[in-house]
Amino acid sequence: MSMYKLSFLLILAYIVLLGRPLEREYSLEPGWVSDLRGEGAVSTSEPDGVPFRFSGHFGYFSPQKAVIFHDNILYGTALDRQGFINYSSINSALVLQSPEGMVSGRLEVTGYPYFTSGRRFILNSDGTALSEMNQEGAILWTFRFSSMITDVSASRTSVAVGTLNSGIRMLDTSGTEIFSYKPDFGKINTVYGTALNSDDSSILVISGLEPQKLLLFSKKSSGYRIVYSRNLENEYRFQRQCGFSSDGSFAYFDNGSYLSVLNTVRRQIKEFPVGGTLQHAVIPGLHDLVFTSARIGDVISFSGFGFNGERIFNYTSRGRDSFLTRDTSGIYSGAGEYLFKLDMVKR
Amino acid sequence: MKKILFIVMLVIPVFFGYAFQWPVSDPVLVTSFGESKFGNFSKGIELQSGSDDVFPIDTGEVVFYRSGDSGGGMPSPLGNFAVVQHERGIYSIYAHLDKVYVPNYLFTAKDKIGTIGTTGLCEGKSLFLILLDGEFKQYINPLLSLPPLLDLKKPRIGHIYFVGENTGDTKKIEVKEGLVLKGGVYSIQVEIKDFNDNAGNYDPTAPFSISLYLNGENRKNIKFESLKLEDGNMVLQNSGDSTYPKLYASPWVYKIGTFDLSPGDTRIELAVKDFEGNESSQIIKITVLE
Repeated sequence: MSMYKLSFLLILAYIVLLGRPLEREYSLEPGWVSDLRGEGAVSTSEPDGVPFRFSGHFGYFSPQKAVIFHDNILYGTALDRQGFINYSSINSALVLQSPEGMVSGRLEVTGYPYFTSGRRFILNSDGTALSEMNQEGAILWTFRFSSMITDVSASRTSVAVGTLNSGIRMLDTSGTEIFSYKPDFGKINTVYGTALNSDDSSILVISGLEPQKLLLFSKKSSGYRIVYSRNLENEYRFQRQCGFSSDGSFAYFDNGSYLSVLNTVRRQIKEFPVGGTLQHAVIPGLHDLVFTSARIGDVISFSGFGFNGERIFNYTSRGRDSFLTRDTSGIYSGAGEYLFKLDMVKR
Repeated sequence: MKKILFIVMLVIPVFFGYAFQWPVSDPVLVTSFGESKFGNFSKGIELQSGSDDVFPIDTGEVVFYRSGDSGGGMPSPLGNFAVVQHERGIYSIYAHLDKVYVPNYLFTAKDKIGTIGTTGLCEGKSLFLILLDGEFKQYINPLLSLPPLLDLKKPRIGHIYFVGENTGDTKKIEVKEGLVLKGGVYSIQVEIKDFNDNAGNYDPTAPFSISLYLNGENRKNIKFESLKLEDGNMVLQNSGDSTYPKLYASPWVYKIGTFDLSPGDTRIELAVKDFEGNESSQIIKITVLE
């Protein structure tokens, strides 16, 4: 065999055995921008608006046609695709409104609403009880805790509640306790963050001090069991953001100026430098990017990372509070007075 | 003279057993422990002050806090707050703060932890102080461990009512001297407001204790000392089965209890104390028919 043929075969073998496809390149192109200053409601006829909230504004946008409704936040706002409650700091009743701003219900209760995972909850006035209401605003159940609630995470069928002094409690859709865990390590059993994945098969918990631990529970036939535990190097004493990717294959939590992402199958942690205080993380799944927004002083930094940790893109906007979500056609970001869409094109 | 005064000031708290110091200077009590607040028991006390600075009630360690920048998406009815862990599993919680200062986690009673604010669900600029006994999982009246407030005002006993339980008549009957009514089971409800010297006549608070005597026999004691979760309900301890709906008919009307009134002359005596020991009492004689 000639040298030429040998070289050719070696190259061919390399391509077949060791070669990797070229990384896809992403480019961001301007989609639309909405200025949220000025009057509130814009349009009411667009179905299925996507909810947003940041910097004193909330509302709904259509992925194609920008903002369809917006208003200013009174003190706080709870919203989902079905409607919202815009509430003042002190209230004796909560008014439910449709995405078009029409009144759809009224709830005679003093507390703060919290909408998550398509479910609607109310924290009572001192943060020690959680109630769930239906779409019309009727209270379905109330669960009282012996100490204050520190974090709440829900799926369609369960809700995990972290507490100051009673560990983590998991309730079903009728408010009945189905699982509880009280950390027995460190000098305190406070839960600093919790997340439940969409099918209830995993719970992420950050708990304790000296050490502060990251715990991953997995649902087994006999109940939830700890399948991964790790002492965290950076202990924080405030509520830590955590969550799961849409497909459940990753869990994430804020870790100072980093976003830490745990591969729930391989049990490996990867850190992404967000540069400031993490505000939002969106992790669609293994074959997509990791999207983050973080506050650095008076600027919001939006980033996209590959799962190898490489920052694919970054853009900034003035503001102290942000909004970030993603769908197949683009990235929707909000900061300051502007909500904007960037079309993400893979090349 | 100054030396003697210093020693006296040092000894008084130790002698009287005040475990903690006030978190604000010149405190004005505007909500008392166990008072009806937003349709629930108040699990702490609400204080106003001429100064905005807030200090821990004792040496301790901040174990949890929330300031505007540190929360996730979940709302905080307590607004900005800090939780300090003290010895023996006691937690003190400082809520509705404007600013939270946590440069270090270890605090002495001289280290400012925040400033009074209006964040969260509160009716005005005030500090909400909660004491939680983590070991026994109960909320403690902070006034039990704080130096006394100067207050010489007695609690005011307002209207007293009977509400028939099995007499077929559920309307309120105002209890007055010489009242004649038919026998049966009645709920006794009493309107009580306590005013403090330093809060004026605008912010009534709940009393510290209520005692009811029927014909000289002590039939019910209610004490606003501690609250504990029992079977999913917050219960005022050492006060019978006093959950919020069982104790409060309305924010200032207390359901003292349900009693079977037998025919004959009946002497109803009500004794109400505030936390500083000021006491009011009322004696009413009625006649119960067959």
